[in-house]
Amino acid sequence: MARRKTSWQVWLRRIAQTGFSVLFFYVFLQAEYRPINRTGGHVKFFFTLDPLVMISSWLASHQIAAELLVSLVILGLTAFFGRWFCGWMCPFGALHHLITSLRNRTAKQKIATDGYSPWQKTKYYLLGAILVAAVMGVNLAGWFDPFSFLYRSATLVIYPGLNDGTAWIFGWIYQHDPSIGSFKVTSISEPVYQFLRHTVLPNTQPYFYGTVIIAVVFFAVVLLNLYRARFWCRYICPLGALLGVAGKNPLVQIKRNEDACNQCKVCVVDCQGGADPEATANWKPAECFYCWNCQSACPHEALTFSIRVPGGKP
Amino acid sequence: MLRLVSFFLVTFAAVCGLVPPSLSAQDVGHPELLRLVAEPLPDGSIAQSPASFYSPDNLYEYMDGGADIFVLYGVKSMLHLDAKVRTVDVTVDIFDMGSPNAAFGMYAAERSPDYDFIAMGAEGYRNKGILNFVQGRYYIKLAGFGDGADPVLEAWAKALSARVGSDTALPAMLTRLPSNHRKPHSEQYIPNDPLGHSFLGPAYVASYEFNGHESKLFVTLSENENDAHERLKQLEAHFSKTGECAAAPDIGAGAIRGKNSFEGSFVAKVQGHLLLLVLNPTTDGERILREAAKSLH
Amino acid sequence: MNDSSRRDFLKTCALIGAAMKLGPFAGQEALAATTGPALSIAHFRSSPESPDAIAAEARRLTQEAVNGLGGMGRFISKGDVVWIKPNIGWNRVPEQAATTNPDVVATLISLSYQAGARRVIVSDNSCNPSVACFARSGIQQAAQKAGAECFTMEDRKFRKTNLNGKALPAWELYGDVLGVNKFINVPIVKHHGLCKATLSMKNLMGVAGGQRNRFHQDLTNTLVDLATFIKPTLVVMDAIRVLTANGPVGGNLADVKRKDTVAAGTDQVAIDAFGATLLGYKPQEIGYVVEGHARRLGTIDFESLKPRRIEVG
Repeated sequence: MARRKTSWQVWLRRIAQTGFSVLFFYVFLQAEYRPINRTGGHVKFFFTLDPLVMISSWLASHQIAAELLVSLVILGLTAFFGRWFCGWMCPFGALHHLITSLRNRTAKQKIATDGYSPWQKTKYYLLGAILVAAVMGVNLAGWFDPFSFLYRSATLVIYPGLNDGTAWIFGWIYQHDPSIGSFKVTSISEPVYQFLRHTVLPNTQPYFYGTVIIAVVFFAVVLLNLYRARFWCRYICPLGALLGVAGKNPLVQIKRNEDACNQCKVCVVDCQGGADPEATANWKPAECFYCWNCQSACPHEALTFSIRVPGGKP
Repeated sequence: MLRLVSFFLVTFAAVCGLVPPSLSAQDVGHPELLRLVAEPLPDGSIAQSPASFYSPDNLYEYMDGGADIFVLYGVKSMLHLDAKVRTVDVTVDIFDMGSPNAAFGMYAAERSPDYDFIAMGAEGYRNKGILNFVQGRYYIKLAGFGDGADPVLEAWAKALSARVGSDTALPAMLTRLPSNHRKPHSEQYIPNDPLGHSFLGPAYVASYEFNGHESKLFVTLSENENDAHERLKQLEAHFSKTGECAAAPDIGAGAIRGKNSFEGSFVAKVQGHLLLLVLNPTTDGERILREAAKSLH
Repeated sequence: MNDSSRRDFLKTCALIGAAMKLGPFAGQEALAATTGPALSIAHFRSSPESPDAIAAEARRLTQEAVNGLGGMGRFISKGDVVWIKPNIGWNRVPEQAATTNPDVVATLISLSYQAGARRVIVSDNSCNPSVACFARSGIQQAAQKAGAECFTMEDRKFRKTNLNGKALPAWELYGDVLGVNKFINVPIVKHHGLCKATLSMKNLMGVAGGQRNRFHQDLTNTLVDLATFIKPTLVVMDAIRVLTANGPVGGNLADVKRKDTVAAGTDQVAIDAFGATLLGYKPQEIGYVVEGHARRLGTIDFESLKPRRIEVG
């Protein structure tokens, strides 16, 4: 089958994912200690969007910080329009999406492994467990919430690791001072490193105990994408589960042109959420990330997403 | 692609795992110190980064040459925290000196009688942008920068003092030293080698001023009365060799008196398990010795 | 030799362990010995209180002290790359006299540029966390305003260097320092809990990396080893405010006394001997000053150099 050009919706989605990921790391960098001790004001931004954080804190402490109410907007939008958050906004999801797309697999293999699995219900049980624990006063959300997980891994493992790796490389060049003919490599490497130091690298690097286990868990979670597509998002993420519950019956639904469709299942190949796009009646809106891969992949342009009037037929 | 990605990620994990955690890392092995800076922080302060901990071996990483004296006084561990409240930056350094004596000794080593003293913990002093105090086995040093720093430091000190909780008294021995003509805030506790002599340590030291003349009282803590007599003998031997030394029965049984060119003159006697020594005594010095012997009986 | 080949030469020597008896800036000795006084002491008659007046005092004293030696032109030539090494060791404000007065540093930067320096770099290997020290001491801001490059040091740049010292056969020294032509050491006079006083030779520790607490095992010989290897082009000693107790960290303003003095000289031992007297010590009481004299690094009898004394204000 001929490969179609990627649809503009998919391009838009990629831009959004990239944008929010960049925003996440920008906000992350703002949290670094600055000499005049002015912490970036928007560190909390992502967490205020997070309804899981809001609900579990409320259940555990019977209090809500006012700013967490912003997350109700996300919950509300999901209830109306579906789990666009997971496909377009979540930076952790974007990471899993990226790793998933780097896999070297044939379409046939993907159809076999990446369709809907009943195991995707695990995340709902995990969500339930977290909420029950919260009611009993134990707030476990921080361990499984995707922002917390990503932030923690970035702070303890990724950022220090990148910093050390970069310092090691540029340090090696500085110490050995290689030249190519009469051209000194340091005349380029030093300005580059200074630029990095003044922009993205930290001024002082705190180290933490317990990084090994965080590193192992982080890489395990990321590597699980090689087993099943967007493993964390489908099987573990309690925020995704919460949004799935909210988005069970959204207004924006998949629409298939029955005449154009020949059951080729190309739409399943790159479906990120495991939502079964090839079976309109069986399509699982709670699992759909609205990534538009299916619509983009369909060689017969049989799929699209549109607003469904409540009560009407798709 | 899978292989490439896996290789990259595994190598990355290995590198991260091999990065040695710096010794000044957050550590869950200091629960008591951490409890002192548990949330919420005083006065609405916000921690700028997790608290760091230092041991005697790596304290120099934080204080360089300033660390040696803390190690000498037996510091067990130290907590360092940077916090911010409004326009003020606060630096909190809490030294666990291991015992109230050592904490007092370290505190007293850094204080001068002319400081501005306040009632905080067992005792404290303040100046623009700093507030240091001692309580129990902790020596706490607070530094503040920015407008309105001093009230913030006071709030911090009060909160930390409440959290330390334990006794807010100076070492008991200090109250038993003769008080007449004693220079306030001149007391010290020297664990090793007072005056450079190991047989004199550990000792409480206090300065006395009479008619413009300053004397120093050393109360050396020996193991028992035999040990105290042994130390007296060593003191006698030292001064006999470097100057002169003789018995002074007029002061008391077993008392000695002597002098040399570089340390000055002294009188000394044993009282129980304590060795009492007054350096540069005048007639008043001998009175000090008698009083000390009486009150420390 | 042009700049880059001279640098290569020095680096090669350091790396392959050639018997380098002289430090990187040696050669200036000959110059310094013939063309002017070895020590000048500038003193301000009053002790103004306002920050602006103290800043003006600092600038004036620094200029007078350097002029007393014959002017900066004696030390800095056109095209020089100059390293100015103040004490930026501690997270303290200038009033606490734990770090060098920023206006002294700024004045030296201006004088260097006026004398034709091509680049001026200001840095130190701080004891407390460096980002805080550079900001709180006011030195980074003052240095950058005066047009110098002032950034915290980086661990990756310390190079194992052969010193051939009595206590230090080799040690990690900051790579960038080894590559400049001229080195100006700008300490502040302070009490030190371990060695009685920290003056100019102790200030050189800020060029060293690694586990510097090992220096304390034999501070006397270590400091003289360091001072013998890094013979500064010029030493300018800040004694406007001095720390008289609880050094080197300090913090209590009650421990700070005004001496309103800036000294400048080419003899490290002599200027340290003079600095010791400002704290009430006899030069003979400071171990590394005695050792420096014994090794003929300089003279402990600073009066014999007939220092220029300048009274201003």
